[in-house]
Amino acid sequence: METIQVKVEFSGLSRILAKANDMQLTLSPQQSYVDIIRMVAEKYPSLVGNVIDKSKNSLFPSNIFSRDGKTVVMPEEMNNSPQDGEVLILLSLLAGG
Amino acid sequence: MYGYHGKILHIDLKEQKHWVEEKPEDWYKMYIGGVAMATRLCWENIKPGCDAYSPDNPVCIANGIFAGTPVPVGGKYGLASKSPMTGFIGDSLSGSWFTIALKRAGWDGVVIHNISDNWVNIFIDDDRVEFRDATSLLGKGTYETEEAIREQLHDDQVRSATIGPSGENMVRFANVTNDGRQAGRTGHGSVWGSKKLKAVSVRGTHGIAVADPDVLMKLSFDITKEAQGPHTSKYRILGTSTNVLNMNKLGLLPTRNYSEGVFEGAEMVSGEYLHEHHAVKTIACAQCPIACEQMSMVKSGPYEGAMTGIEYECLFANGPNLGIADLNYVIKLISIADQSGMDAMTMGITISWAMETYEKKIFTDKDFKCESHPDGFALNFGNGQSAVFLAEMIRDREGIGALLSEGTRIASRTIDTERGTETWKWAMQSKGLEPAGYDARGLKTFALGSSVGTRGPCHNRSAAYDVDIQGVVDRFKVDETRGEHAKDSEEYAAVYDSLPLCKFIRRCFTGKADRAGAWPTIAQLINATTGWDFKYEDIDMIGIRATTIKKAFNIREGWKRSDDSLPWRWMHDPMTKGPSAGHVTTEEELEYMKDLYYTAKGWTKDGLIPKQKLIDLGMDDVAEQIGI
Repeated sequence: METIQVKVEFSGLSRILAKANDMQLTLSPQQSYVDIIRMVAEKYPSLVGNVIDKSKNSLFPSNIFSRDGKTVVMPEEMNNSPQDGEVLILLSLLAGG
Repeated sequence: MYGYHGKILHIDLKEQKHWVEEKPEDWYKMYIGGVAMATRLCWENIKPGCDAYSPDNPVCIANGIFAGTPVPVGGKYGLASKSPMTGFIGDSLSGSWFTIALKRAGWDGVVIHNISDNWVNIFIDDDRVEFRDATSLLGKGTYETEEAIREQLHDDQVRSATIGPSGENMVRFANVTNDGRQAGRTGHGSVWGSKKLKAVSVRGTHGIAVADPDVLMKLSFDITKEAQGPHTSKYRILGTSTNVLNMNKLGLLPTRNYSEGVFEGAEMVSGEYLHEHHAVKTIACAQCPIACEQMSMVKSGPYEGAMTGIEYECLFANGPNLGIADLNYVIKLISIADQSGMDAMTMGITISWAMETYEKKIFTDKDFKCESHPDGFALNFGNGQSAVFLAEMIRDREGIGALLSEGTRIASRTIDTERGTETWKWAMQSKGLEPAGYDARGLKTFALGSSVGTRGPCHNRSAAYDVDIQGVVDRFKVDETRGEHAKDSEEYAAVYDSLPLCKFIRRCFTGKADRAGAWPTIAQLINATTGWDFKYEDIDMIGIRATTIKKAFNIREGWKRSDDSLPWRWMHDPMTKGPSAGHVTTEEELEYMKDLYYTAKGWTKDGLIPKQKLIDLGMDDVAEQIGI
């Protein structure tokens, strides 16, 4: 397989700042979640410093990638590669109200 | 004493007299402020076993340690009584100018005893207490009452905590309101109504002495600066209503009386949609640099002009949970609750119970007949207009609104007794309180945190969903770690609730929200305010003592292990759609997790507190009464 497809869905703050609902990415099978963060940061610089760390290598605390709403990409998994067709929901979690 | 005055004001409504109780500094070190101090005042002043509406259930108000200082988000107070909804401790927090005025008037707390012969507005004017006739205020909404009192006293700096018509009518889940904020949950407004207490107003003119003003100012400046940065941008830009889509994507958004966790109309009632189409202003609590509340307005149609602050919990309860995908109805419903002083969460969940009962043909149109609606009306899920009608009937206790004003536990029991039905199975409550907007069928740690909550299932007193949602644990399974997680979460929350500080500041100390990230700075803030020498472990003790005194209060009121439960639906009725479909927390799982939790707390298998445990916490008098 030469490339894989991954979709990042924006929710909450990321959607407001990106002014987009989602982003479709084409990756090589060796690329990682960190690469995905970098690609999102490049396309939507407004997320940097709010949702994505200024280094563009990690998400800001309390922001997570949820895989299909069921599992979470943990910090120690960020250098792993996603599956073809994976849907990552970028959630800015918060509580209260 | 720095940071405190060493004085609690006692007021007797019947006798119209007041007296001062002086407290030693060690008492403040133990109970700090907010919910811990308010609960401790309940422990000392409530007659065990009394009815929540009796003269023996006083209103207990406790300032925070940082009220009136420069410490950001420290302008909150605790309010506690025996809850008429649960029969256990009812403790609430509210961010307000009211607490700052009370602190400036020279009081650390107020205990209001007995029942007034006539409707009264207590006016605390520094050290003077006036019992003012409140007849002219009756029927006024919460905001309107605050304004009217300012006009009556010719002083726009007077701050008031008030009840609205719902409290006057003793809607069991009525709130106390101040500065547009609600001391919600557990029914404080109805306790005030039972006492004919329409409002407590305060004018405070004294300064507040702190031990080290320079250090406190420097720390406060640094935290305030951080609070303008990325750690709070999600609160400042969207507020908590952003959680509608978050929860929907996780399959955890309560929909149609918690029957599902995915709502097909979520986009139309999302925080994002609200932000774009209805938000008119963001406002802040007193002493807060974040400003998370989205004031939102209906801009056209029959409810044009309806406006109130919208947050996630009231939004889910009156939107997806009613099957309503139109924010015009949602804003109208929440504005009815806020202006009349009702808990918008319980109101919405009670209406959703009635909707399901209607859809199951136990209620018919005729059940909703009343003077305002002589033919009754249909109450299907998604019917926004009928929901508005019913909210007004609850507020006014008109027709079946009188029964629904008791909340889902009493309403379901009454209907089931009358009609031989089992509506209690979809009455979403535990201990008599309706739960938060995080469906615990897909959050096993939060299911435990909800079941053991001393005031009932609550997202503010237990953030146990954090470890579930952030993937620290598998949220669909139970394991031996859950007791520790639930304990850690409630004690962490209790620190913030007892200082009190709004939890939204938690990442602004060092960037990390955990104990290591926050406790050292919080200790510095306490020490600069009081001159004490609090260390990391002393901050932990705040949370441990706070949760212990609350549990002790409940034990004295007859709490037993079986009270730590969950709504039937969460244990037996799995959702069919979305990422959390197919899951429940079984009774076996819950009992296993409760064992783990009681063990983590150092309690007995029955959830009682060993005498020595209480003595070790310095709570000898509590040990004497309830320790085993």
